[in-house]
Amino acid sequence: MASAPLTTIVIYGGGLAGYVCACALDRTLPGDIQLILIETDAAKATDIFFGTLTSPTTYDFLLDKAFTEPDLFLNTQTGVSLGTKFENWGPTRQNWIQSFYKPLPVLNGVEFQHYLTRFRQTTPEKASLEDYVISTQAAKSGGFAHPPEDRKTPLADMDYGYQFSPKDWQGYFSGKLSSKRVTRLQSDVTKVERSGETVTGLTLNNAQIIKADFFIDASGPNSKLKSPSDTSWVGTREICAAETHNIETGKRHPYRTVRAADYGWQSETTLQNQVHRLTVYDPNSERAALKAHGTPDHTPFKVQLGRTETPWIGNCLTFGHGAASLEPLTSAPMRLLERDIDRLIELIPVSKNMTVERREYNRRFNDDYSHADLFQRAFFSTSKTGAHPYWVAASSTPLTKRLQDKVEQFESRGVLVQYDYEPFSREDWTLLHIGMGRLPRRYDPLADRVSLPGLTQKLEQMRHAIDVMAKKLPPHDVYMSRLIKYLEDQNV
Amino acid sequence: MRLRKICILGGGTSGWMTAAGLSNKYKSLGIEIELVESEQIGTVGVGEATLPHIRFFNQSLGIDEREFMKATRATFKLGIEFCDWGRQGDRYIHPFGDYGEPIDGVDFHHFWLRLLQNGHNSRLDDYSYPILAAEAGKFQLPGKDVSKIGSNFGYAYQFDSSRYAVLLRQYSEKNGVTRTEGKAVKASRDPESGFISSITLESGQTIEADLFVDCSGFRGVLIEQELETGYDDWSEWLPCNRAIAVACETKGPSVPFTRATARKAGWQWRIPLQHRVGNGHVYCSEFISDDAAREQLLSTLEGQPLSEPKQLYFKTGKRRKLWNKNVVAIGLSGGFLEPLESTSIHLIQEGITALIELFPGKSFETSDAEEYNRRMDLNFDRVRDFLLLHYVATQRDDSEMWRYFRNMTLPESLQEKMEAWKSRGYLLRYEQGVFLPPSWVAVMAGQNLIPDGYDLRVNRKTLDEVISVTDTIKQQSKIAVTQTPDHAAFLAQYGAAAEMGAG
Repeated sequence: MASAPLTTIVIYGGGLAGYVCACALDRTLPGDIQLILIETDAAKATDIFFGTLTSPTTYDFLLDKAFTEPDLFLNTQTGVSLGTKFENWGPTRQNWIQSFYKPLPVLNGVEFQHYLTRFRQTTPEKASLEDYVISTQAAKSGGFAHPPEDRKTPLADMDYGYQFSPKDWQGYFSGKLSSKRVTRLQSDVTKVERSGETVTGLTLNNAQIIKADFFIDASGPNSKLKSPSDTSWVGTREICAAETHNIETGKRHPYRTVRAADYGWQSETTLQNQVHRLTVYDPNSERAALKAHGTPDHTPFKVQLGRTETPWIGNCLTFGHGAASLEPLTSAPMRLLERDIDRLIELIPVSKNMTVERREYNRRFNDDYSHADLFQRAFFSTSKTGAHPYWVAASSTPLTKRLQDKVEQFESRGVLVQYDYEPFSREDWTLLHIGMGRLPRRYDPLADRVSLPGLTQKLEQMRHAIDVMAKKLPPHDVYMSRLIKYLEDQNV
Repeated sequence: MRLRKICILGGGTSGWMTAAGLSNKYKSLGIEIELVESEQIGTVGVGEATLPHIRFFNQSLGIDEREFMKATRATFKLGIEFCDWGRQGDRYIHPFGDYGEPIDGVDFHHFWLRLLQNGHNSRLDDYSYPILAAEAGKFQLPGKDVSKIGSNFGYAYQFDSSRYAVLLRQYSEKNGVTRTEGKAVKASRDPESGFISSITLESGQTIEADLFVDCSGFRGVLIEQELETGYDDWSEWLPCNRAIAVACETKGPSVPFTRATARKAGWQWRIPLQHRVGNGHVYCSEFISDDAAREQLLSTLEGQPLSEPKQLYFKTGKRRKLWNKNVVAIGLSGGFLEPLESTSIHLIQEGITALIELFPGKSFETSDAEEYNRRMDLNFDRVRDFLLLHYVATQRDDSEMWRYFRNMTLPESLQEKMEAWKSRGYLLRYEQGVFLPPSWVAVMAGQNLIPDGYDLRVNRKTLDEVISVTDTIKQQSKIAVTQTPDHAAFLAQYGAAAEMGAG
């Protein structure tokens, strides 16, 4: 192999990003690479901004690193999630369930939603997309069961992510690090030695000096290892977040609820034995937000949304909230953390010359985050609206050409504009557009090739089958407690 | 409101593919389709070799594979053999399929690279069933489980595109497409919108339509001569601008692959059909004379030429807007990229598919054309980069043309791709575009661009484990080939061989 191989990687962190990253590297890299984890509490503070929801991608993400769902259920408060119910959202007070589901059938070569647009023009009462999405119907009936492999039942089209508490996962992943490979130091960095853009060593509290080939700084927004020459941060909007675990009044659902308010929004997330509340608000509306929230577990945190455009400089990668902060409105923060980790694993430097790795990591990072931004931005009006700071700030963020194209094409004719490797699927986008009231004006003329009675019958059958299935599902609480009981018995 | 009438200007492969594709979808919706073509104007018929996507086009039309192959004298195609590209004397096959299979989520070629770096030399080709089958002149259809070795490949055809046009004409006419003989001499425009309202033929006949599809070839009668859309000239990157083509008699059994041999001032194709072999020399007139190019072609034919060689002139590039006002350019009127990777028919197919998905209504919305152009631009750009790769991933410097490529400043996207591969076998991927990672691996490795490093996850296994797991794939591929019938025998047994003497 050319030039000197990589032997030691330092991860400076100790929050969720640092622990998941360390676990993933621990489980995927060959044995001759040493890992040193410097654990600082500073990293934990902003974990609240990872939100409480993951997407269906998490199952495979974890399995790739040999983390199994049963182990996660047994050792954390993690629950299943069919998506998010948005209430009273946006300028037109929309209500919808942004659920996770597999692609709807293509009938006669035409995407399903074109038939709904056709129906909307004749029989609007039958044109509701959610009637045909099993995950949404299951969410409404409060039921859950694992989707089977057998594709014949409507349940196979259901998909699910997880509802979790960042604090809980922090502990879980911290406990999963192998003691053989990972050297853990409870300390903080007091000095960073550099030679140009290369970090050559870190001095810790106890004067110990740590040397390595590659540094990952997951210590949070004020990352100390980040090159002082990096001034590429884009984004100015600030938000605050307060959380309370175990709220008393919470209702239990197999989905997260997000309720819009003047100050911002409030979510409630059902975990195994508790309901978690998160309130996100504009810093100028703190009083109203905290009044609505109740007593938070700790002092609320503030973060500046946005990202650096060059997370990897020299031999140092800024990771987690030092590199990017997303609003925890959707599963985006966790989805992107997973992508950060998988991108890193694919690009672990093969030698001390990291030119290619750096350029490619940064390129994909910018693609992923700008694509996630499109999705998150699409939750707000495309023109500046609102009387309250949160809504004004959110809808003032400029629209990119890419998002304009997505919205225009969908509203014009139900076409989903897609870019390479977007983190959010066509299904996610379809639900969001319709949820936000962005309905197509036209449909694919090929949808007219099916006769109206034939189509009505076909859709009625689908709707009925989904309805029957959704009502047959066991209540999610019952399902989960039986599952956990079963897993506990197996473990004994 | 639905549009009422489509006029396709030009027959040939693109015209009749468009007529077939559109009539199949819109015949029951009362949309009238009229195709205007002139027997005086010859067709180019550049693409006789195709990509696997053509199967889905035929399937969607409901065309039976056997009937299609008989009618067009088609052979099966497992890939393209590239000769003399990296260095003179080199050869490799770009297959329709992956190499080996990913191991624990890591692409197979990284394991191969570790073997190489530890002195275990083997050809990457030995882990690819379609390459081994092509080399042995064998073919069979893939089985249902496409992850299984022996089924882990795609296939396309090599066929007579003028016969394909005839087949699709019959198909289209059955679907109600009207064919009008004639040459367009004039177009009338709506004074307000600038849209073409009708075309007038030499005979004086006028044809009105809502949508015009320009399949008139290089001239771009509507898109360029009338609408003056403009052309992005890519000659700087792909300077070949002429071709001379001739069919010759076939010697020996037909093989299931196309061949592209690099020459001093271009390259030469060899496309084996059931009854003859198509040949052509694509070259750059700056580096070779037409006579010398013709001589190069004729002196290397394996059998008697079947006609006078046909001379073609072109300029590499793409129309600035493939959809402009109410005209959509499909085929050579939209752009030209040399057929080094059999993309001509594929780009026609992409054009038709995108037009169907973005099919306009009576009132054309500009956003339809914008999205169409965005998609097609991306397709063309990405094919261009992939073609250019063949000329620049090379050690050749034995002629003026090869030295021209040596000194070229590459598009950044291509430069970065090659660097990432060279450094660690890493592939810059995209989802939208025809050539996926295995194709890039085939050309870069095939032209001696061997990476210095590989994905470190490979080292989770010991060298002995890597040897054992890769050997298994190699053996399985080899065994699968021995169980595959000869290509010619399979054609006959499958019922795809045309009757002898049927011309």
